[in-house]
Amino acid sequence: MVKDGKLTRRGFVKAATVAALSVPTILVNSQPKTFRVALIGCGGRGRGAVRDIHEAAKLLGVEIRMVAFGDWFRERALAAAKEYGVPPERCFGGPTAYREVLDTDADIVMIAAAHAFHPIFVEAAVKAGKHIFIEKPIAIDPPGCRRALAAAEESERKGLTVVVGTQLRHHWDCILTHQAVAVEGALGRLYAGRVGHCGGHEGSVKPVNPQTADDLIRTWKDWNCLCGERALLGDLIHQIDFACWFVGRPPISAVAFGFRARRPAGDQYDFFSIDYDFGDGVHIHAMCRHINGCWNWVGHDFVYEKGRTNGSDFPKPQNSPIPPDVPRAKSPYVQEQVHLLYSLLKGKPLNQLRNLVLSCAAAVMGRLSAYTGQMVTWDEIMVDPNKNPALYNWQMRPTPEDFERGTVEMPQEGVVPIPGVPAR
Amino acid sequence: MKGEKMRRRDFVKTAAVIAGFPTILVARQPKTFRLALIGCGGRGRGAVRDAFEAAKILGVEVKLVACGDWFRERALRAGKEYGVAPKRCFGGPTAYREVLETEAEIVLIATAPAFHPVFVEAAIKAGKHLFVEKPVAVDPVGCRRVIAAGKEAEQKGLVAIAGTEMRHDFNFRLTHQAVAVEGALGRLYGGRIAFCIGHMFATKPINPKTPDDLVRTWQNWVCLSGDHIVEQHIHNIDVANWFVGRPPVSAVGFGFRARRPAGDQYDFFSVDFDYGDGIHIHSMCRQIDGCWNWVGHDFVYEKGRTNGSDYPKPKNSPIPPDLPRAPSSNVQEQVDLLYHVLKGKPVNELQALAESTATAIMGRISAYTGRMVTWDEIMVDPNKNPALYNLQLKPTPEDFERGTVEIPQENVVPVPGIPAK
Repeated sequence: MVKDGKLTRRGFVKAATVAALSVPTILVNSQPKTFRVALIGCGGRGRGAVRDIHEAAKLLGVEIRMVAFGDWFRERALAAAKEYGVPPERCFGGPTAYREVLDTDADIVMIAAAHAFHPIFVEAAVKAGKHIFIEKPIAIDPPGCRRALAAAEESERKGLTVVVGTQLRHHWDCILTHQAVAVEGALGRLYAGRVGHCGGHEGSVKPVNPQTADDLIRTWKDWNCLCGERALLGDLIHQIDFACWFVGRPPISAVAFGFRARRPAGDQYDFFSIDYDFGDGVHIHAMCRHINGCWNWVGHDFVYEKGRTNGSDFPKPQNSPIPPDVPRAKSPYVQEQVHLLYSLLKGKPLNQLRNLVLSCAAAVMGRLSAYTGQMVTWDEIMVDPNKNPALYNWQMRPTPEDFERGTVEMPQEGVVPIPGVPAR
Repeated sequence: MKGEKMRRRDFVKTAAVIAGFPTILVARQPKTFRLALIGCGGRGRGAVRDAFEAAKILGVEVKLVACGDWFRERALRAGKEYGVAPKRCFGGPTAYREVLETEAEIVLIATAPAFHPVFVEAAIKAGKHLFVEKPVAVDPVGCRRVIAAGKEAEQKGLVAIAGTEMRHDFNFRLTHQAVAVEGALGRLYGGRIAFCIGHMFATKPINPKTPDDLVRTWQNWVCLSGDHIVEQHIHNIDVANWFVGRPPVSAVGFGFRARRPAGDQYDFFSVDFDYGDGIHIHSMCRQIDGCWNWVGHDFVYEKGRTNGSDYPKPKNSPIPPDLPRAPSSNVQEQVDLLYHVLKGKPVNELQALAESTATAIMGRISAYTGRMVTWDEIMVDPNKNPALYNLQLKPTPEDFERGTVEIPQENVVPVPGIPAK
């Protein structure tokens, strides 16, 4: 075990200069016993991620020291920090709190804010050379996805470790089943499948009537401009990511159906049913719903030549992709942080950002298809600016920049996109 | 088509040996088939035209002897075109009975779907051969009624042909034989079917006051049409059932009304049908202007995909060599009808049509309620979910016949699930 591996500011600067852009710098000069961690977004998931990384550190025999907290609401940053003895001057609030957090000496930044802010935060974190844990989704619209993709490319060039909150990719049974089925081909060819995230109502149960930007942020999961459809980008993203992982590529197009049947607050749909065309004849039906008293299913069903799998029930690969010395955590949330710390300790960058961007773009493609009633293609939103400029440049308003500048117009509650055009 | 014209003598020979075949054909060989039409809308009149064209192809004659419609003026108009005397043109809710009392041998039924179970049942009771348009019912009770009527038709040796056109299209029949029967593409793994088109029917509220108003605009009302998944998408659902070889075991449906301006139906459905053995078919239908449109099928087999009609290369054709091929599948339906009557070969397409109708209804109920709905619940076990098993849309066809119709609320649709607490 490493004893005094704490990296001094000076040592860090030196290391960063020498190691250029290859291996994470903190590991080159001295084996760190303590990782300096900062959190952006001090809600339940963010605080949970901090707890998880502490637990992960125990499993790996290293230490975590929290160095900064940031949140739109400074009191939340203060409340989260108290538990870890971080002084108030390291707790930042307001729309630019993320910048102040990134100016600290943190080695690892954990990001779990309202979805809309993720592209900006992750871009800034990569620019600052931080290793990152970021919750899903990474973006909620095509410009956000492309911005995050550019950040992913930069993070790859810099050799950063970026672990993302699509926990199933960290779940051992899923990793082993993926290896057996999708990599080694134990069940033969993939023909079709379904994925679902259908559950009861989530979110406010009566109208929010927001008056200020603060009101929106406080209830961000109810608002399209911040959350980007909580049933789809918030929940089904796990299963869409899973499908992309097993198929081995993102879909080429989506045809989606969805609407708002009985959400009492905010401005989002409460169900989507999407046909994803992955090319080569492989279609996956993805469905999600947030309505009480309906049929519920959260899962996967992939139809292979020689059998079906739910993605975790065939953990029998010939060769395990999991290094033998990685500790197994008792929850995939902790496992995420184990993988992050392990990667840093070993000096082997683990970068999942690109995959998350691609999965989010797939979800956004389904969302735009449901809103418009049109088939939406990958090329239109991610590749060719001229094919469908309206979709390529489609951005929810208010944008994250509006929040930063204070130019937020309140969205209309209970008003949602209606597919197609009126009957003539 | 001259060469395919049937020789009278051959026909007589065939007809005579088949026991239990409708007596009209045994006793005297009709050169002319007497037809009657119940439901004189566009599709009904079209079916009569198709029957005349089919008769030409087969070298026989048909004569329309009676017309019935809810609105007598419509029956009169259709009758006029084919020289049917006004006293043989019947109107009102019991017009079908008067039509069935005539000497017609073949009855074409193309009314609002809700009436089909009653009319089909009565036609078979009266010993008529029949053609009935899809769908054949709007609720589980109606579907089971038609299945029972189909059994009676079999016992009576009647010919009952359904308006599910694809089952009559030669390319579909041959592809089905090659792929689903002979297994040319190996095992079936999944698929998608769709009827996604623009807006259909009324473009502003109807404000119905009377049963007449409802019947005149029946395509807009769930109680009469069964919603567009049942009324229109049934074509593709029927093809799926046909290719899989059975109806699904359950459905999970999503749907709602995004921008329909009239009536009380949804305007889109997206349904996951579970056919058992791991086979799922994603069914989609929509009637909204300005959206992505697709009407078709895509079945994913081990060795390739088919749209249901692009692999007409079976080793053995299921089509009788002397069955003429018609220029359209609507005419083909009538060719098939007349051919089977001529040949004295009873055929019961009611079972398959009722099962496909029930499949569509299962998807509709699932979307309306948000629940998974099973085949057992609606069609097999009366005790599993009595509310679904006994579901009958109101007003019922009997309400229309008795005059006890309550006008449905316009622009009010089912909302899945329960409110958020």
